[in-house]
This record gives sequence, structure tokens and C-alpha cells, in this order.
Amino acid sequence: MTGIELRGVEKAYGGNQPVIENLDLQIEEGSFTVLLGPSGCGKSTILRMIAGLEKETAGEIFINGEDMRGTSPGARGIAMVFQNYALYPTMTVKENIEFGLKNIKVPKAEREARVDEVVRMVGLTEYINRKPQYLSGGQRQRVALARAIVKKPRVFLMDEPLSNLDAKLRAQIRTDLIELHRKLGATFVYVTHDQVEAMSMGTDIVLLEGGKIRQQGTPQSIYSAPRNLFTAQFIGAPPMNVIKAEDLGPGAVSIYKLPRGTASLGFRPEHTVIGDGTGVPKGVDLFRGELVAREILGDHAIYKFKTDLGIVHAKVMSGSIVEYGEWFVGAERKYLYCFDEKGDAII
Amino acid sequence: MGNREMEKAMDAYVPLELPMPKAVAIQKLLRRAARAATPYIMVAPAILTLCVFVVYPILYMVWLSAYRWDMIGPMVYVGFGNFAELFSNPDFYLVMGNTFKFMFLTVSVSIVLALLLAVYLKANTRVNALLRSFIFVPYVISMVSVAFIWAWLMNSEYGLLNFMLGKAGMSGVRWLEDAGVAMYSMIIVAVWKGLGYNVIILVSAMHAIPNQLYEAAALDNTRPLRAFFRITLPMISPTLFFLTLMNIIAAFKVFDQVALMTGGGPVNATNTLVFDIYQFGFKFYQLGYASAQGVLLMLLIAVCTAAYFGALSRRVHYGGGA
Amino acid sequence: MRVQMPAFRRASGGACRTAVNFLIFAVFFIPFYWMFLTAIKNLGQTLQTPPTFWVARAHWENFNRVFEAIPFFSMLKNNAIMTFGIMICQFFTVIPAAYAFARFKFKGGGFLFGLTLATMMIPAQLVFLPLFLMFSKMGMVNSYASLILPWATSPFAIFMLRQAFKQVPQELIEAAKLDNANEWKIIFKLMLPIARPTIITLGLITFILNWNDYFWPFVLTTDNTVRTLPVGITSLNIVDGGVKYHILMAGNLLLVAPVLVVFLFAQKQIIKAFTYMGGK
Repeated sequence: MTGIELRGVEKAYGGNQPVIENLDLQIEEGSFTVLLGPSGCGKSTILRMIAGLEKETAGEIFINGEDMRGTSPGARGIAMVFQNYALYPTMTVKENIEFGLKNIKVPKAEREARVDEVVRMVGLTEYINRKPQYLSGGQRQRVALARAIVKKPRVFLMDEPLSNLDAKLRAQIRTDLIELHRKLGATFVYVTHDQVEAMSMGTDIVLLEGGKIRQQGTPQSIYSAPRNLFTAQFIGAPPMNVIKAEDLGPGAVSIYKLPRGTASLGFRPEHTVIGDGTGVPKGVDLFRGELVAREILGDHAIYKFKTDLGIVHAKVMSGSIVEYGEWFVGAERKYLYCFDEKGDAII
Repeated sequence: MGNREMEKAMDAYVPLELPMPKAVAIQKLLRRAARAATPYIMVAPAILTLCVFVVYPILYMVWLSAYRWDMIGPMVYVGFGNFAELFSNPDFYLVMGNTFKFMFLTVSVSIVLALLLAVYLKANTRVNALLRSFIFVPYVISMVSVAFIWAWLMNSEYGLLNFMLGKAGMSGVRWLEDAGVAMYSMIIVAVWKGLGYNVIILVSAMHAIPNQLYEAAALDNTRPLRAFFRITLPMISPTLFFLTLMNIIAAFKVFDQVALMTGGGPVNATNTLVFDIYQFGFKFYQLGYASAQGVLLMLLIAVCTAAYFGALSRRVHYGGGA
Repeated sequence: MRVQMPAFRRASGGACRTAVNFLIFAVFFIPFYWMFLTAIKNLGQTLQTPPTFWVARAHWENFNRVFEAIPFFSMLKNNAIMTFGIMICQFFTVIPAAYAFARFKFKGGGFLFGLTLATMMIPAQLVFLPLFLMFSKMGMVNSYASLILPWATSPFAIFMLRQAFKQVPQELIEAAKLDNANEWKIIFKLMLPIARPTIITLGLITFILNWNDYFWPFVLTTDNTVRTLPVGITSLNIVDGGVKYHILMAGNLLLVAPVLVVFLFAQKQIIKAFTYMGGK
């Protein structure tokens, strides 16, 4: 059994209601697993329990088949990149990177060689004798990465490491991380609340809500086959349009031949059909909507319609720009997702 | 004993070795005990020092205040007798009057002057920084030096101050010898020495105010004086508050300058509480009486501090942080 | 961007400011100049009316009179022993206590910290009488121990340093744990270096306050062998046949000079230190 495995893990603070209850999770070796979810969903807590920084109240955690109970954070063969980088402010870049190696008494020659290698890998050679306060945000980020890489861990844990960077840098470091993951072949466990980061980098996404796993799978499967409303609405920007089945007239239900028990249905903004009321495509029920906001983003445009059934977004990749005014919107049957009363998908 | 029994005994001996799990358990227990003791060991030197040299002396002083003792003869229990004597002694009221006069005038003049100077010297120009340093110098040198410099400046015959007054067409002042003036001379010296501290603290508090507030005020056509009262003053009020407490306590414990410049005179005009405690304790050997005065000083400081923290917590609860 | 002042104020501001600047300068500079000048005058020049504001020949021999009148260098030594003794003691009592209060949760910790805070406002002037009696009972009056021990710790320094330790982000300590650092490594390689500016600042404050201290050595010593400089200088004040101000000022200058030199070179640091003291 390789990778990381959590079995029946529970975490409670003090005598309070547990934030995580009976959690089973498998993270495959070599995967880039993203723990995704809104704030307070327990994703950071899971990461910190894997790191040993927080103790699980019940259950077991295995890394590469070894029970981690009683193993100190330093001895777990892991490295962690923190949200605020946690660089030692009084140490230079080099001292930051070699601190961990010194603590396990790696011989000087090997230490120097390893530090040299990672510093070159992340492109910090000229900054090696600087203190963190004299580095830019992106450079600090790279020091934090180098400090993790130099330990040659089996597992990299990352806790929202990009949240303090500006948008441009974030996009750049995203691709850097993908490259790094492929080059090192180690297991990455990455915590974020940003679905774009999850979709772009992850090979495996674990979507969490309220301490529970709502769905786990590849980005494609999570996107194209959401198993519940939460997943459907968390992934994708803008999120999936959801309307209540009962708001549609009985006619619509018959057009779409909705399965029994459908309480709500959704369609992705990129599948929204916009029409002027004439020439309705076959199998589409259109409803009246007023265009209230329009974002022209170059290669595509996002429209926001106010309809009697709620807000409907449309994402149009090309073609002419839609003018403000009254329109008809809807979606083809094959793009509809149906959900029951509890929000679970009906397949 | 047969061979067999011997063997049995040997067998029986082996398990006598501490079983491994038990050894580990004891080790763990020791480690846990060591870890639990660590914080106590770390605070022990400081806490013990405080107990021996602050807490115990205070208790001792309170206890002593209930006795009459001259350091040589036997101790006589008098209960609140020392306090009764204290409150029936007209000199005590004089001393307390002096102490409060000194405290009130020193603190108010210091704070007002420091506020004016802080506003005046707030901008970080070279000249301002230099002047702030100059004002600060008296604060870092010994009160002994300050007292002697001023005693010399205030010398009624040869002092520079009276010379300058003469030049300005005024008659000289007997700064330290005139019972009606000496207390004000004390206050001048105290303000002069402490002003630098008050100014730099206020300047740094003013620097902490975001400039955006003043920019917004300027866009709202706020006059500078109004900006001072509506922005600066409220924003620095926590600091001002703290500074006032510090100044009050410093004023209550005034001793050095009294001892060095006037010796409490003339005719008790500058005799303040700590100096009086010293006199009764070390000159007249009335230790119980001096201790009773000490208890009173402690209450004064405690009341001021309690009032400070009380007001502070009320601010936090109702006032909203400035 | 600076807020613009009304035009009329700017126009009159220049001359007015110069005058006020000069006044401030005069009030805080002339007393020191007068001390220096008197210190190099002879008795006649000192008592001359009108006084002279410059002397053609400096009477450096005034300083020799000071050395004859008091055991200056032994008092200087005593001053150093007391000040550095206090600083060393505080180093060993304050740092561990502040660290424990900042980073450990332990039973009674809140109470002990409360006790520390409560003693913060208690000045020497409050406890000198019972302390003197304690030391005299133990026969320790006129000893270095009685000068140093009562100030061997500082509640104020504990409080400030605790704040500094508390401000170290938890993440840093976790990162160090992941880097296999044990508790000692965390203290010596991480926490103390981070708190270094605070420790230096507190050291500076302790140095200045104790170097200058008059009250405590005055009440606790009667013997010149342990008396410190601030106390020693005062005996120049009591000379038969009136105070010889030129000698007194010469002694005064010797007392002030070291502190002034330190202040000259470290004024930014010193001002920052005391600002920091009022910050909380």
C-alpha cells in the first residue's frame, strides 16, 4: 500500500462537535491531489493531520503503508509549503534551505551539493545570501519550495501556497508546480479554495464540504459528471445554472422527459442557448430573460440574464456580441444535469 | 537444593529483569514529567526574584505599618495607630498637598507642552529630528546631573537664570530658597527632564496615524485645528492615556530632585511623600510611621493604575477602539 | 502626498518656525553648555557678575579636584558592576520567563503572569524601606548583592519580550518542526534571533536607567567602597564654605559624558527603544 491513506479519521477541538468525522481518504502515490473546498471545510486540518502538526482524535493515517501514529512531523518523510511561506526571517536563503538538512546532520559536502542543485532548479542562485525580507513575493515562494524540495520528501504538502501572490504570478507558478510535480514524481497534496488551481494542476481532486468528501476524481470527471449539486456549483466559472424543476411549466417537463424525482436541473453556462424567440432548436425549452450584465473577455464573453426562474449565465466562445435587452435562454436536453430533492445527481 | 531447583531458581531470576514495556513506560513518564516541569523551571528565577524583592517587602511594609518601631527597641503593636497619627499630623497634609500639587502641575504641563511640541515637530525633517534629539537628552542622563545643573542655573546670586531676568529688567527670583517659589522650580526641572520622553512617544503615536485620514479630511475642507481635535487627538488618545498614567506614577515617586536641590525645604515647601518616607524611616527611625506612609503611596499608585485599566476596559467595551 | 496648509500660514511660517526652533534649542542646550563652561572656569570666574560666556583658558585642573575629592574610578567601577550585574541577571531571568509565558500553557501560568504584571507598576520608591530592613537584617547593606539582586528581573522586560515571542507566527515553529528541529533548536536558532532587536532594546533601556540610578544606591549604601558614581558626585555638593560649583559641574560633566557619548552614537536606537517602551 503506497501513497497516503486516512482511515476513519476524526478531529474535534476540545469538547466541541468534530469538524471532521469518520473520514476515509486515499491519496495515490505520485498523484497531484488537490483538497478543494470552501473555507471551513476542513481541508487544511486534513493536511495538518497528515503532516502531524495536528493530532487526529480518532482513526489512523498511513503514509506508504506505515502507521503515522506517534511519528513526529519531522520523521514522516514529508515537506510542507505554508500559505505565508514561513521562511525563517533571521536566516539567509541558503540557511533557510539547509536548516532541515543540518538538523538531520547531512554531511557538509552533500548538503552543499543538494542546496546548490535546488537553488539552481528554482532559479535563486543570485539571491542565496539574502534575507527573506529583501525578496519579492514570488522569490519567497520559490525559497519555500526549495526548502521543501531539498529534503527529497516522498510527499509534498502545500497549504494554499499561491494565495499571497498576484494573479499573473499565480498563473506562472501554477505551471511551474505542474512541471515540478512531473520532474520529481513525488506525491503532492495541495490545499486550496480556488477551483481554477484545482482544475489546472490536480490529477486528482477531493472536493470537501463540512468535513465530508463530496466527490473525488480526476478534474474531467468532477467537471463533467458532478455527483451532486454542491460539486456542480463549486466547479466552473461562472458556476452551473440551476433552476427548480417545478418552475418550469409542465410542457417543459414533457419536452425534456425529465426522470422521476427530479427536483432541480442544471446546465453549464457554456451550454446556454441564447435565442430571439424565433426558430427554437428542437428539444430546447427557452424562457424569457433580460440581459443585465455583459463581460467581454476577448476570446469569450459572459452574459448574465435575469429570468423568472432565477439568474442564468451564458458563456459564449465566439460570434457576435449580444446586445442588452430581452432574450430567450435555455439549454439542450443532452447538456442537462438532473438532481433529486437531496441534491444528488440522477443519472 | 537439587540441580533442578537451581535451574528453576535461575529461570525464575530471568523475569526479574524489568520487562521492556514497563521500562519504556517509566521513561515516557519521566519525559512527560520533565516536559510538564519545563515552564515552571523557566519562570522560577523571575517569579522567585519578584516574590522575594517585591511581594514580600510589600507585605512586610503593610505588617510594619501596624507597629511602632525605632529599629533598636522592641516593636509595639499599635494597629491603625500609625495611620491615626498620620492623619492627625498637620505636616502630613502639607506633604500630601505638596505631592499632589507637584503631580498635578508636572503632569498637566508636561502633557500639554509635549502635545504642542509633538505636533510642531511631527514632520520628519532634519531640523525636527535634531530638535527631538535635543529635547530627549535630559531624559537619558541622571537626575543627579539634571538637579545640579538646575541648582546652579537657579542659584539666586550667581545663577544664569537670575542674570537673564536682570538683563530683561526684572528682579531676581530666589528659586530654591523662597518657600512660595521652590515648588514651581521643582516642577520646571521635572518637566524639563521628562519632556523628551513624552514628545517622542506622542510623535511616534502621531506617525502611526494613516495619512489617508488627513487626506480625506483635507478633501472635506477640514481646518488644521479641527483635524487635530477630530483626528489626531482621538487617534493618539490611548497613548496619551498611558502616558498620563506613567507621568502620574513618576511624579508620585519624586525623590532625587527634592533630596538634591532643596532637601524638602524651605520650611517643608518641597517636601513630598517619598522624601518624607525617607526622612521618617532613615532620619527619625520611625519605621512604622514611615511604613504607613508607604502603604498610602501604594494605595495611590494602585488606585491610579486600577482607574487606568478600568477606563481602558470600558473604552474597549463601549467606546470602540480609536 | 501632504496636506496643503493655507497660503498665509506658509508665508509667515518660516520666520516663526525659526524663532521657535531656536527657543527649543536654547532651552535644551544652554543648561548643558553652562555646565560645560562652569566646569572649566576657576572659582573667580564662576562667581563673577556679570558671568562670562566664554573662557580664554580652560581650567582642566578642576577635574583633578574631582578625583581628589571622591574615589572617582572606584565609583565608576561600582557603577559598571551594578549596571552590568543587573543586566546579566535580567538576561537569565527575563528570557526564559518570557518564553514560557509566551509559548507554554501551564497550570497557574495565568496567575503567575498576572503577578508579574501587577508588580510592573511598583517602583523602588515604594519598597525601599522594607528592602533596606531585609538587607540590614542579613548584614548585606553596602554589598554589590544588595545593589543588584532586587533588580535581577524586570516585569516590564518580561512583558515586552513575551509580546515579541508571541508575535512569532505559529507557522514558523511548525516549519521548524517539519525541519526536524527540537525545542532547543527552535529557541536558539529561531526564537532568540527573531527577538534579538527586542532584547537589545530592553538591554539599552536597562543600561541607561540603572547607570543613572541615584535612589537605590543612595538608600542602600553608606560606604564609598560600593557607592556608585551618581551617589558619589553628590558629595561634591557638600563642601565646607559653600558649594564650589565649578568642581561640582566638573564632576557632573564626568558623570554625563559617557551617557552623552553613547547617546550621540546610538541616539536613533535609544530613541526607538524608549518609544517602544511607551508603545504598549
